[in-house]
Amino acid sequence: MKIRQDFVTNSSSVSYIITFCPSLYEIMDNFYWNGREDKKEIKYSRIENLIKKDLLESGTRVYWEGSELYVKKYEFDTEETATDHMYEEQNEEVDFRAISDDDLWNYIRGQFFAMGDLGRINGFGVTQVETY
Amino acid sequence: MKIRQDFVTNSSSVSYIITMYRPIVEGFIKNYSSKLSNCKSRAVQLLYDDLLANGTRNMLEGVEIYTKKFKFRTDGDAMWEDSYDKPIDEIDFDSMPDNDVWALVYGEYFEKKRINEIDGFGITQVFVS
Repeated sequence: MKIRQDFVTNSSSVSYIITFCPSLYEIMDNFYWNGREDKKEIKYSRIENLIKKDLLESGTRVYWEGSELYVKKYEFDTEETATDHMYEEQNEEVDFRAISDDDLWNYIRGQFFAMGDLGRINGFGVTQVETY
Repeated sequence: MKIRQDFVTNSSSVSYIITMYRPIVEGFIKNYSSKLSNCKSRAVQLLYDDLLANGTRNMLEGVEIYTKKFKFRTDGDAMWEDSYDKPIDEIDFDSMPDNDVWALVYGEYFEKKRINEIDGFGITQVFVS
């Protein structure tokens, strides 16, 4: 999928700390979707799995306030992002079954980190930390 | 019929870890405080002051992050903006006791995750312990 980069006029480097509580996530995910996994929206399945895998593999395991969390700092240029607004402007519908992992990461960085959508998923958190 | 109140109470306890990156929050307060509603402005300031005074300072990949865990009951400790008997804009939050403002923070900003609207803050739900 091609992403129009020229939408981002003032590119800058931004950083976010992503936090993840696996135990809470698994409990809530099982509660809502156990036995009917096929009903879960493919968009969220892929995004949650991609972020979860990355955090478990390359995040830092910490005990903050008595809770086990996986945390990782993501730093990127705003040119490496895509958002719902950008897709709407391009009149483009995203096929979340077919989108490549690289393009999905662009979308995650834009819509789920920078726009904060990740913070609405139980067990995940996003905190902006730096902008250059 | 006897109802097990303790079960009802336990079932609605929630815990959240609030994360704060001080420079971004301070920038947000400096730039937007005067443009925010009285309610939101007070909530942001209360949260910022509390994290600074009572939170834990953690270092992660060269970044200093303040954290604090909040545990509360959703059926008694929390208020939403539309829970009040007056429109939110007609309520003077500046003269309201901290405890009452905390109820709004728990309901509107933690439960509804509206804390994500405030740059530099983050929220992660965790197990109730």
